[in-house]
Amino acid sequence: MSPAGGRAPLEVSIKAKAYLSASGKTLETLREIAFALDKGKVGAIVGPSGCGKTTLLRIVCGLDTRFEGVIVRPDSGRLAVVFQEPRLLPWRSVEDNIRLAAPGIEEAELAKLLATLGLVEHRRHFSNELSLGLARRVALARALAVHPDLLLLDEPFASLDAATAGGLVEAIADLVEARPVTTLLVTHDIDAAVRLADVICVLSDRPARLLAQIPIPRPRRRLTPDAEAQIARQIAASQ
Amino acid sequence: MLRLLSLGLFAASWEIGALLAGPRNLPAPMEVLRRLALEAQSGALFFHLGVTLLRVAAAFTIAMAIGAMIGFAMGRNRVADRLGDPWLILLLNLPALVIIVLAYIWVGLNEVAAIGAVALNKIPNAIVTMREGARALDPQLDEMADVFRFSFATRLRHVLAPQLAPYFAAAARSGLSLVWKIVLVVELLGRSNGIGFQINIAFQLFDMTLLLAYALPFVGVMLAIETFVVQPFERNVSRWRPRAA
Repeated sequence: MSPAGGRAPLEVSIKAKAYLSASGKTLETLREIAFALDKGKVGAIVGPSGCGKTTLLRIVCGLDTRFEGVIVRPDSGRLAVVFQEPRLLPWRSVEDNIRLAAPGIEEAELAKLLATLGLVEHRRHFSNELSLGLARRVALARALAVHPDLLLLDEPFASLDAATAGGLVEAIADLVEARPVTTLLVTHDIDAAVRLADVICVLSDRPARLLAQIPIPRPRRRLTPDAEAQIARQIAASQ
Repeated sequence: MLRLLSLGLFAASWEIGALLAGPRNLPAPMEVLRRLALEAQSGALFFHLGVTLLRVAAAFTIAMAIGAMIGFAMGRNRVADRLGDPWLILLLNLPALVIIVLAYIWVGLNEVAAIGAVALNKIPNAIVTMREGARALDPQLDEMADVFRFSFATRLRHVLAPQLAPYFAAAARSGLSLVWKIVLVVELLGRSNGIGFQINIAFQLFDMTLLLAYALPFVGVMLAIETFVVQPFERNVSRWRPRAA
């Protein structure tokens, strides 16, 4: 997937990641995971739950540095993460949550972002008054407001009902299409991964290894249901 | 409305108590009010009240500042917590009177010893409360602030302060009530002015009217501070929480 010559904006090469459990045993969570992501592309990490997807994401965004391997991030290195728990400041309004992360944001851009994500009427609400689905949208708005070179999404559709999750998938697809951002998406929702990603990395059960990298043909939003089903089968077969 | 009713009930039971106990043990409310007005006219009441309030303010400020810093450090840093804990337990369990007497003996019968002794009595409580606050800080928000590269000032004002504010308010509230009680003891033992000093005189003369005439305005001021400063502050810092039904 990495182009010949030239460095991809995101290169992940993890030899091993282990941690000491509470009972004193060493548990290996990740082993031999290497992939790269070209500029402006969307990569999805799928795998069984509990296999270490979130650990992988924490390593990629630099929050976890205790692992063997190398991560190369985009040069200017502006990072944005949409955490699984939206991690908004509950004592600040939706608008303030976005402005605190992106102090320089123009009013017009903020308004557009809120409109795209359907948050206009919630602008002045405290963020703990929002439902999980809305809070995830605010977290997404905050992440995009900083104009990241690398966007990381950790299970953005978990614990949402199908309609809400579907709406969020569409919103992310629109936003990423309108302004390409190198994006890494962690999910166990294969349908969502197929709809959003340019390439899907399939992880095994713990300790997670990279089983397959499946490219998604473009234009991905016009895939027929048949083609989607075929990719889903391909993913299932590799697991 | 309920508060007024409760206050009225208090005044009525005082009146009845005065009738039963006799003016020597419990003077009637009007008697105390007359004496209070007399003391206010001469200016003595305001002088002593002012001196005491200044001591309360100084001791409270010093104790909250030092206590909050040490408490935060101990809540965030395991080594600091281990090192500080035995000192904290010692200070927590040292009787106020011991600290006051030691301060007067070592430092001398002066203002530094008085305010220092009061502050030292309050500091361990502030530390304990603020340490809990620092321990309860949400690591997830810390990580979020890291990822989005919040500046130090932003982090302090928008991430840390709102999380610590309820603990600070709790420490301030319990601290204020502790400080003003101990200030009177300090004044009684080694100062020649302030409410505590006046109460000492009243005690030596067995003058109940004078005692109450000084104690009541002091309680009144403390109630006012609680109602108009501490409670609004608490409401303000927790306004983002959904109201309990």
